[in-house]
Amino acid sequence: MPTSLTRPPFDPELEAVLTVLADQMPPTITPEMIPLLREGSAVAVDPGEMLEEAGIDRRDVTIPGHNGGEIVISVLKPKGHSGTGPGIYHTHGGGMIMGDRWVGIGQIIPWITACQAVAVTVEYRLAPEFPDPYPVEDCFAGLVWTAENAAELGIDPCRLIIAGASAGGGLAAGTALLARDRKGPALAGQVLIYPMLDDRDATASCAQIDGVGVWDRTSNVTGWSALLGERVGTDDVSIYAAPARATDLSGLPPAFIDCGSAEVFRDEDVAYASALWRAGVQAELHVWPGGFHGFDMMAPHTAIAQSMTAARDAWVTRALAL
Amino acid sequence: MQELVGRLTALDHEASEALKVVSYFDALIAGNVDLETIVRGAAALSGVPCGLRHGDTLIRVSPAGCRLGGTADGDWPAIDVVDGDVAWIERAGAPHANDAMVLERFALAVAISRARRRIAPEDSVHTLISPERTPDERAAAAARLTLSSRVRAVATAATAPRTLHGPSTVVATPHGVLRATIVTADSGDAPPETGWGTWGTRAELPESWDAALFARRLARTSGETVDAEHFGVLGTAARALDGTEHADARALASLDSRTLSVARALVESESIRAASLALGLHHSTVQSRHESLIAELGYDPRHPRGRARFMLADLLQRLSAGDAG
Repeated sequence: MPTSLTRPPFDPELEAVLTVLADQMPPTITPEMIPLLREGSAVAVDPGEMLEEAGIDRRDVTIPGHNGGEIVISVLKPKGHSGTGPGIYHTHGGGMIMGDRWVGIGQIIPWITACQAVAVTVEYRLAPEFPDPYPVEDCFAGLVWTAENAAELGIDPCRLIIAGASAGGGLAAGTALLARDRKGPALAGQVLIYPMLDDRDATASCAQIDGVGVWDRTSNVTGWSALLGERVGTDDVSIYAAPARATDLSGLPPAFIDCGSAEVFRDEDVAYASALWRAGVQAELHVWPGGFHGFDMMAPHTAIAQSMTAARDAWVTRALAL
Repeated sequence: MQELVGRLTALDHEASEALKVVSYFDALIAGNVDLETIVRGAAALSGVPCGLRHGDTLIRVSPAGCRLGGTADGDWPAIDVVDGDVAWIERAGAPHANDAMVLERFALAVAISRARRRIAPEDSVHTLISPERTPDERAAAAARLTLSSRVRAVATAATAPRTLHGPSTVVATPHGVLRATIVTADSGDAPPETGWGTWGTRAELPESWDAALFARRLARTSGETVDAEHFGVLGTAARALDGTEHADARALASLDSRTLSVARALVESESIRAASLALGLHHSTVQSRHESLIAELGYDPRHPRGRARFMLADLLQRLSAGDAG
């Protein structure tokens, strides 16, 4: 009994991965699942071994966050790093509701080592306990700290980029908008990896990815509702919380955007790239056919994940070499 | 969301994760992927490099999915696939719990992939059993196969020996990867767990294949071959209700297997006495089992209407049991 699909099919190799991951990965996340998912994440991500293997030193610093609170950032440097070089400011993913500053760190470690870059990754506070504007303002505070301490960190302020995946991609875009509107810090590029940009739940891709794949429509509503509370979907949402709402993207740094064709964020990510081009901003966009959300992290061995990673790494290498 | 799932890494080397291995390769077969993707799957699942030798061509892939060079000489666990192709897992030391299963499904996937590429691009059998193809396409496919006017489709395991006479192909179905054979007579020995479709014209082959899949799923629960022809309208009804939940089917699913076989004997036998004989139980024992069944089910499975009710409910619970297994 063949079933007709109302969405692009998953890449066959990714479909195979999905069948194996099915029992540990619910496509749909509802608010009551948040505590349990956070518990799981605490044990899942231990950066020590990865950093050691890559030859990266780590230093944790507590800095002031938004509205008087404290947040922790980690400075990551290749062992033996000297002088000033490129910098990467990283905002992690997790749907605005979970994860820590190590989520997705595997995506930027190769940039640190290949470009002799210094990275700063920020532990912004999470919704719903810390709703908007805490996450994006914490991210901005970390960026300001990074720029102010650039000389001591060994970062050339003209070669600092911002990067994040999923919710971290949305926060990176929002932080870049804040940096534009507050006249600094300057950013040389924004790497928006399948970014979460739009709270309005109105795209075709939101409707298509419902109960399937990874981070489906309901999960997305869960994340946005935690961040925005009753403001979700109303006129009372800032462009920094939901960058898809920005009507003027002029003056932003060059952008790299990628996503899968079978994920909730597809249409808002493509629209953001189009809006950047419309505003005269340089942008590179990749929509990987049959990709579910985060497939490069979950299925790094697949052919399509290797292509995605190679294209992204190449852009970053060019951006940081400038 | 990496934190939700970690990532697909090698299977737990102590726990048997046969189901994951099977579903991974089934999905690759359904997706009609190339050989390198199959090797990559084996390497990702086993956590060590895997390889495939095909004539002079060597495909070796690391667990991270990178193509490897080298000749990979070594005394690795290996399987001869077909036509001199060899598939292997480069496991040094003691084998892990899933190695044998990974190697078996790896080799099967390679065999199916190679078989498909030998078939003409236009797979006539597949065209004939696919409801979405046009009547013209199906008439052309039937002509290519020079089929007679009375045919039916048969579903067997993709791995089963090809003992049936007739054109066949391997297809991905919601119930696994199966071989579809079109037969014009009941000739050849059916392998175990064969599902026979309904007889009909060439135009009715999609319906026959649907019935064959139904029979195959029943066959999986009994271990015997099942002929959809024997079920008539009951089979049609069961397929229409497939996937729905009904209290009657749930009631049967909750019975223990002994009680269920007593119930089936009661329904299928002419009399309580005949049922007792078939079960090897005393008449009065069966009599009292019958009474408690009536109480438990809320109807008499020996009453004419109760029989129909029982049989349909039994088919439905067997279909869902077949899927679960």
